[in-house]
Amino acid sequence: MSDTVLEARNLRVLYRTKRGPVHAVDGVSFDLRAGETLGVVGETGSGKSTLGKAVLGILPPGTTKEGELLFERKNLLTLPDGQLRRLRGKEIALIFQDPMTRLDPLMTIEDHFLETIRAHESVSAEEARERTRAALASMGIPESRLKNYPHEFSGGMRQRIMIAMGVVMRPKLLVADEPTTSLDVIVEGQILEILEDLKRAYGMSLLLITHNLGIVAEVCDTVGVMYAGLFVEYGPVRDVFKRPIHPYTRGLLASIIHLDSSELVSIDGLPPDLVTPPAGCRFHPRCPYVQDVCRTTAPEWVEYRPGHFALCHFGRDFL
Amino acid sequence: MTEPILEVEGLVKYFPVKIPAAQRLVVRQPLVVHAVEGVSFSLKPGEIFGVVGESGCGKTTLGRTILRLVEPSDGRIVFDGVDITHMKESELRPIRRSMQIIFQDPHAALNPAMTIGESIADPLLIHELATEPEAKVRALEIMTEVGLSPAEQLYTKYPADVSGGQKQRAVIARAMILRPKLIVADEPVAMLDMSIRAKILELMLELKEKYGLTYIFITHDLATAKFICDRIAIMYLGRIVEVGDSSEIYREPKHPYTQALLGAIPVPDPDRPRMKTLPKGEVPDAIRPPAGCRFHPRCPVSTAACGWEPADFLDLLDLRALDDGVRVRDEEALGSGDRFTTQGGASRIRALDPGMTAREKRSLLVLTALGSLAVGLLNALAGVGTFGLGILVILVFDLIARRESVRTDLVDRGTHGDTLRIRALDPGMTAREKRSLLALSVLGALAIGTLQAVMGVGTFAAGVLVIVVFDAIARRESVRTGLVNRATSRVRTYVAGILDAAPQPLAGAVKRITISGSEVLVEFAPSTDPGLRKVDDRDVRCVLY
Repeated sequence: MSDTVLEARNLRVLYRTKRGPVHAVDGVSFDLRAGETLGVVGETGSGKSTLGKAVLGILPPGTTKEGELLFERKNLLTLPDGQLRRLRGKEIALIFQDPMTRLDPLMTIEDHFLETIRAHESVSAEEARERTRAALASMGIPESRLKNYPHEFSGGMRQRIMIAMGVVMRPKLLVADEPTTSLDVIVEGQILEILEDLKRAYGMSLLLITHNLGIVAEVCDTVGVMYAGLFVEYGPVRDVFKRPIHPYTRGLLASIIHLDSSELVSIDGLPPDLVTPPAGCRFHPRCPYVQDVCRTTAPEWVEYRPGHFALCHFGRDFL
Repeated sequence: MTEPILEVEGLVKYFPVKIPAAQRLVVRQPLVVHAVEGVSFSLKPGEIFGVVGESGCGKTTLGRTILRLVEPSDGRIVFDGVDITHMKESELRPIRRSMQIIFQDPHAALNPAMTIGESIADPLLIHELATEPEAKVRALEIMTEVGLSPAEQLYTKYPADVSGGQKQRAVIARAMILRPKLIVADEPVAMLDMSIRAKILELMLELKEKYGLTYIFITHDLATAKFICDRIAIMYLGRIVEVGDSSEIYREPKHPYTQALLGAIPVPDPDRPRMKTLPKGEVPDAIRPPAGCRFHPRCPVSTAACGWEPADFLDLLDLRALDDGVRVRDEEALGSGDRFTTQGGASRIRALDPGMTAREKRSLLVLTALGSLAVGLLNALAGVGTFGLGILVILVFDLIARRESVRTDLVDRGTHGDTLRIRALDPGMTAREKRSLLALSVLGALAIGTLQAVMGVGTFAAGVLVIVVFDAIARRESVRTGLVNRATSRVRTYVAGILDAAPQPLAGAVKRITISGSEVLVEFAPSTDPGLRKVDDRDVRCVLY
């Protein structure tokens, strides 16, 4: 499709650890179109943050990457470092979970911005300062605070500063890794609204990595449910939430404690150790519908509805 | 009516703010963080009491103060009929067995150098309730009970070797092994993955049923609180804003803050329309909490009576400064923003700057005039002196020039004497030339002297004139007052314009704008905290009820 900004084809990321190789991402495919939001949802250790790092090209050295990850037809996995560095921060930006650890405590906010802007464009200090001022003002941070240091801001303000820094170069793609996890619900809502506004204003695409299904339902267009390094289900948010196919997705949706919950539901067992992933379907040890075939044969990636994929032998039964 | 297991009355906890010694000399009142301020409630045995609020609302401090893990600043804690507020640590220790805590972060709550089993058995040894072999047996029992099985195998595992859910089970087991009556659970599931939260909550409910526990369940997650709690207290900036039966609070939240919290929870349903009116801003600094109702600066339905104060007006100016055009206009009219201050019930803006008072101005003018007089007088003296000197030079030089005889005599002697002398003498100009030159220089000196004298006298006269004129102006106070009045009314209109554009409740709370000297004082109606009041089936802290 012509307006696809980011496309993953069978993406694999292999870490080498002391205990053996770990396929943190093990064959993930998706399309992210211009102006849309793709949510990647999963639990601790599912590989969702590794996926985000792969897009940014900030995986640790010595990591093996396979498959294709196309950003505007350029394969990010094979792009030389120099070109990647020019893309990063300018075309593809990132915001992290904990802004305090990502801002330099010895630099003022203004210096952070000047460094970012002048790393990518040769503009006068005056113009860079003007852009900084405008970017921060759009996030509700007054000019009088430009000379402040990161510790002088509240958590929500710091995250807004991070977002302002991420979008000051007007990137085409913003990768947000748990952008609101350390924030309270009200501030979380404010940050999500800001991200929505930015998407609308600049036609920016958003790759939102989160464990919070509520956020996915509210802001994403498509969602990939990640389990043990795999997308077990992928499709339009409405389909995945209203008519989930994969038993893991179903279990995850049922386990959310929300205001209308009438019972507590959980998924038995623990996520597998990725050094020795289970044979067959990776979810089979925890799956309530497990059959013999699940224990031996890995399921196929099947499109059950237009754009709605799942990785389950019995997907058709759950339609 | 059963006796309450815990009664908390007017509990207050302030944390002093560390400031540098030099600064302490200047700051009159020591700064404190108002972490918990006047919290009262009582718990029936077997109850699950939820304390819900955002980070920084004081919920964790409340839990820890109740357990005397931090010392209360004021108020009373009665546990199981015993006042433990000021009890000594040695007296408190046996009571501590009955009140335990479950921490938020199981990764941090377990000693990484102790095995899971040792950590769980340790409380029995600390309280000297069992020997080591007995403690191990008890630990294995409780481990099985909290779902840590096979217990024997897990006993020897280290925290790093087990999952987050298992660690939290171990923390629960450690709290349970002393058979407590009250457990403060501080965000027990916040750090756990969604799919295992339910299991931990179920475990807590089972243990409560079996052992008749009472829980204080501290959380920021209203959905979890709704599910597990019998009663809920919503906290905001150290105070309870709404407290009552959880089913009632969720059915019809009364306090605007509770409504906002409930509305902000993301719902995992893509079809639900996203129609949220989120409160503005973030939780303010607990060192200088807002006056009146602490939620008023963020409240969507606040009224003029909610406690608006100078700080809110300054916030408004900050907000306006986000727009470039407005910022420039504001600064032109009111001066730069960093000069605004708050004091008591008024915010000060140094805007007018009409300068000195009339009295100061007059004295300065007189001083200037006196100065110029002095300079003038000096000049005049110098002038007259130069003039006199010129005349003296004329007289003396003329006298010398007239004595031709002197020169003639010298030349004559040279002519008749030896050659060397003639050369040395160099009689130069004729007497006539010399005389004209002398006369010319003398006339020059005279002219300069006269000019100086005239200028000196002129300056002196001008000085006198300045005194007279300036004094006359200074006497006409009305001129200056008129200028000040015009500037004052311009600033007053400007400030009124800002308030017109401000949210109505804020504008409505302004009592008076006074402009005195260079200061604009915006005074607000004094406000007090609305206090917790009985509304239907619960207590709410809001002026709307």
